[in-house]
Amino acid sequence: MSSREGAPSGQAGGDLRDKALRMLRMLLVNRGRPGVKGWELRRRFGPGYLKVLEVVGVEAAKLGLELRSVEEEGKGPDFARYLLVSSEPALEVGSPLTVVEAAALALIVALTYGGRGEVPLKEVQQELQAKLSKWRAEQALYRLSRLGYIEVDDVVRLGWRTKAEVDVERLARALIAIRPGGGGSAGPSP
Amino acid sequence: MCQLSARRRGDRSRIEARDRIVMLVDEVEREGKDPFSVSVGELLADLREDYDSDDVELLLADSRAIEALSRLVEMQDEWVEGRLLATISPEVLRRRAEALDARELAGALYSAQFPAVGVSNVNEVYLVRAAEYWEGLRPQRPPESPARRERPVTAPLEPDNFEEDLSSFRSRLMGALEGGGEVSLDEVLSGGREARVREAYLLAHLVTRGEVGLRYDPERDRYLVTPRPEGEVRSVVIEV
Repeated sequence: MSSREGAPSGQAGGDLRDKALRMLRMLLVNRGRPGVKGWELRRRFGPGYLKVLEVVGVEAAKLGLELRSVEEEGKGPDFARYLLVSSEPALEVGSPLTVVEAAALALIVALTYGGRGEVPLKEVQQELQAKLSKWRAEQALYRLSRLGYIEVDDVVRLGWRTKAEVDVERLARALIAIRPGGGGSAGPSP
Repeated sequence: MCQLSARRRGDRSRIEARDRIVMLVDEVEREGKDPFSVSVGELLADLREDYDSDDVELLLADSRAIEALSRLVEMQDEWVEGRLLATISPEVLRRRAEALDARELAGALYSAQFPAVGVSNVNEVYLVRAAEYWEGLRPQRPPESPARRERPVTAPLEPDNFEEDLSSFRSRLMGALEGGGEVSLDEVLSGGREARVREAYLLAHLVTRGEVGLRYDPERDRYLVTPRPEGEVRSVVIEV
């Protein structure tokens, strides 16, 4: 890390944009999992990193991307994860999840909908196994947990990645709009 | 004079009617009233009655009114969405999710998932270097012309047939040039691509021997075959 990168805020607009483009590149490069923690950005871009993030949002929008942050409950922006997501849904741009994993996640979101933050693991396993084979259900839970979509111990909670990537209200509308048996549409207009 | 002022009064009242639409929408928005209490259809029908006016002030008022009505439709959309979400109870959603098969559930998720984006297996230094490389390539890349993509066609001229072909082409050409006029190259050459290449070669041979000439007509961007030219024989490159 150079001393220039850690310079405090208060620089000229051009410098701010230059920093924003460097931050955008940093956010684009995956290091195992998408996104960068706030404290990493502070260490590299100085205490004014939140201001730089605002410019990153504008620059990202030009590329069809959206800057999202996932905050940890009760902790400040330094502990939030900042990441870029596509402005278009996975239906258009593709998803990192297979059909089985996506189905499992949709079911888990439906089970935790309406303020019910967590569901007993046994209940989730039971619901999944009613639709998928036992082996597939276990695999999906493992993969979703590994990718950060869910947190699993005795209970299942939605993970940081679901909070960042999935529009829960939109999913609820989509689930309601489908007529079981293939009659409805999975993608209602927003 | 009287008619003119009456028309102005008419325009004034029409502009005021449009401004009232804007105020009505502002009021619905400000006070959070039911957006369906305003009949968008009727208001649009009113606006449609005299939409063909060429008065600038009236057109601007039209534009403001249409913009306000579009905001109202957006409010109606949000209203319906809010009502829909209010009716979706956790229990209803759970039952619905349980009734769907895996493919339907996945389809719903894909429509609501906005996946994280990132570049894998490359660090920032190489990402920048790759971007610079591609940027650097751009101006150097020659523009592709459709002609360049065409497959070259060869037309074999058998030694045995050459004199025969040349003689028949020559007599056809001389017949066309009879009377001392000029003929367009397109009229002389046949339609097929292979035959054109073959005849172009024969024509080149005749031009080189000085039996006929070729002249470019810049006005119509074409080549003309001329009778035997006077003086020095000149070669001309033609595109077939």
